[in-house]
Amino acid sequence: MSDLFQQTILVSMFAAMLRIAAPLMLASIGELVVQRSGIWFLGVEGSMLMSAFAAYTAALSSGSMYVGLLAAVLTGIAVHLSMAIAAVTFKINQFVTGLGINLLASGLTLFLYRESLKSYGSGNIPTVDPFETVAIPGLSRIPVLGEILFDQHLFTYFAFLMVFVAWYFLYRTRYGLELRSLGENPKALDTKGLSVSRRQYAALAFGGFMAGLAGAVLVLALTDRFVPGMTGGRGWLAIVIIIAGNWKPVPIMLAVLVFAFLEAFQLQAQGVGLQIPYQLLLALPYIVAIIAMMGIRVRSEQPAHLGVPYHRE
Amino acid sequence: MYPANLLNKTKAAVFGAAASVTMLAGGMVMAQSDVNIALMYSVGPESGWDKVVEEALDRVGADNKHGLNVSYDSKDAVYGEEAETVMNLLAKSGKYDIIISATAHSDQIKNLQGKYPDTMFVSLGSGNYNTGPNHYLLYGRVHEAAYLLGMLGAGMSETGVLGAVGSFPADDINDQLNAYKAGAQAVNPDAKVKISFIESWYDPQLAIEATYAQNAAGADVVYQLAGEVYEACRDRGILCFGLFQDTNSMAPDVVLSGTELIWDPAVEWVLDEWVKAKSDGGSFNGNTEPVWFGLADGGSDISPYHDLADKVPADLKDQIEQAKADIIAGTLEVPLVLDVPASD
Repeated sequence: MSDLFQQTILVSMFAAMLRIAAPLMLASIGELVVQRSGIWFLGVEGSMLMSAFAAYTAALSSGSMYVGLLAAVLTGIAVHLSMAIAAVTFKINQFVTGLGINLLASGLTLFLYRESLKSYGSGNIPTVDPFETVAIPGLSRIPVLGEILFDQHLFTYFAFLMVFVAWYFLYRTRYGLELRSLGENPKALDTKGLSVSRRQYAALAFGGFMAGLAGAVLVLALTDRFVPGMTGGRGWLAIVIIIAGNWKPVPIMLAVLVFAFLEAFQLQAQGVGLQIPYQLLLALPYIVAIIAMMGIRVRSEQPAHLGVPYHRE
Repeated sequence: MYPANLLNKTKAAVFGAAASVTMLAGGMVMAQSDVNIALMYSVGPESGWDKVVEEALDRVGADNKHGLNVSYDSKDAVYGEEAETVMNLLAKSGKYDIIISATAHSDQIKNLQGKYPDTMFVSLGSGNYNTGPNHYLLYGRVHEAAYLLGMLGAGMSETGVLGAVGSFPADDINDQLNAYKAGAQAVNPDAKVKISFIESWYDPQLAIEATYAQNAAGADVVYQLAGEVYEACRDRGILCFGLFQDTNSMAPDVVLSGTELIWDPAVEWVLDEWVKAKSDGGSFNGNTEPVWFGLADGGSDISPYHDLADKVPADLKDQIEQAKADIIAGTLEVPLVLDVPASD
């Protein structure tokens, strides 16, 4: 156990925690805004996956990482807006639509990836040249903490910044208040002459932007290529995290950090050769989530109108 | 249906120049000597494991062994009941003489082999068991190559610590990890090997994080068994090894070598068995113990060093060449250990 408490190991583990947290945080904050507007969007995983594929294809074909990033964000927004058309305009069941989007995304990206792969030989799958981490001058020189906190990808800084932006938006602005009321009682807004659907479209577009970034960070920063199914449940985890974080930005951030820490811990424990059952560690985040959900059941902040299509009378 | 009786009558003459004559005599459009294979992926062509099977089928097919025209169709990876449905349809179509599954489909084959006694079923890799006379088992063992990588890694490591990132502790991953460790300790008895499993076939982010974690614990040469993920290797400037195929071109500065899984002798063996079964008086005689082909049979190797060749000291190269020659000659036996290896 003492192997784990060496400085290099601790720095490695906590830096890994923040890297692992980045895509989860981006996706969760996006989904939080979506759910606060009353939409249960289960297609985060699919939206991330399509964005990741778009990032890879666009970055490779254009040779520019920024084009890849743009493609990812636009794809995320497009996928989320398809949910808006189905759920907001046509009032189709939100769960079915979200699940459908996931199935479509996994099949479509696999198909397109295989098609694009035909032109490459074995062992020669093209990779992108990932974004480098950005060390913040001065702060990154602080021993230990600086190495962990201030030598990360821009995506990671942005993800954490968005937690506070989301908090400020939801709790300190009029639009945020309107959005929250939307999830609780859309009729109240409607009777005041405020458009329900326009706000839900906007919330989903924001969610798509964030899911697009979450997909992009996987391909353009944390790894160097697309692999079918590479989101590996991270989009689903974002939904679990929202429930565990009780639909509030800061607790959601803490939930992301707990999940990311447990992942980083199990990887580092294996890395140093600690003789503990790592399968247990892999399951831990989910056990923690279930316990957290039981704890908050009684004082849930879940929007009352979540998942219920709004019909104007 | 395949005219087995016709084959029996015409005996070995079917295979070879006489094939076209038989074809005309039989009034069939297709050549009688065609062997049609359906290959069921374990993951897909993006996975090294599946890709190398296709390449071997291409190469062996081009050789026209026994005068056979080998053609194959690759099928998507499916599991569970769906896999049984797919294999049933493949067998029922009568289009395929051999159905190769690149993964553990023995449970499904068990329900099908009796129904299609003229179809040859072949299972590749761990988790399979024989289900009947027309079911053949093959392993893709590259543990001998992994042993050589262990030697190379230990010779190149400055810290004396090697890493290995695995997918699942399956026995055809464990055999490699144990051999890798044995090889490393043959060169440096004090060498340590860090072993991690990510419990996923393909999760590049996890595999990369596992590499970072091993590097923090001292590993400066890491064997990547969970996909071709070299971002952490590039970022940290450490050497990495690939799995099943030469992946140097994906990261030429850091991929020093890797195991290569060459299915050619296995595919040839399958064709031999098929011909034996289909010739006069022959019948399927599926093996209960998986067959595998090692270094000596040309079933595995290590990838060339490419542009990194200058980095490898000459005496280390010699040592590895010697070990390779000894394995081929049979004087050095790499133990086949299937236990889940402990990380040092």
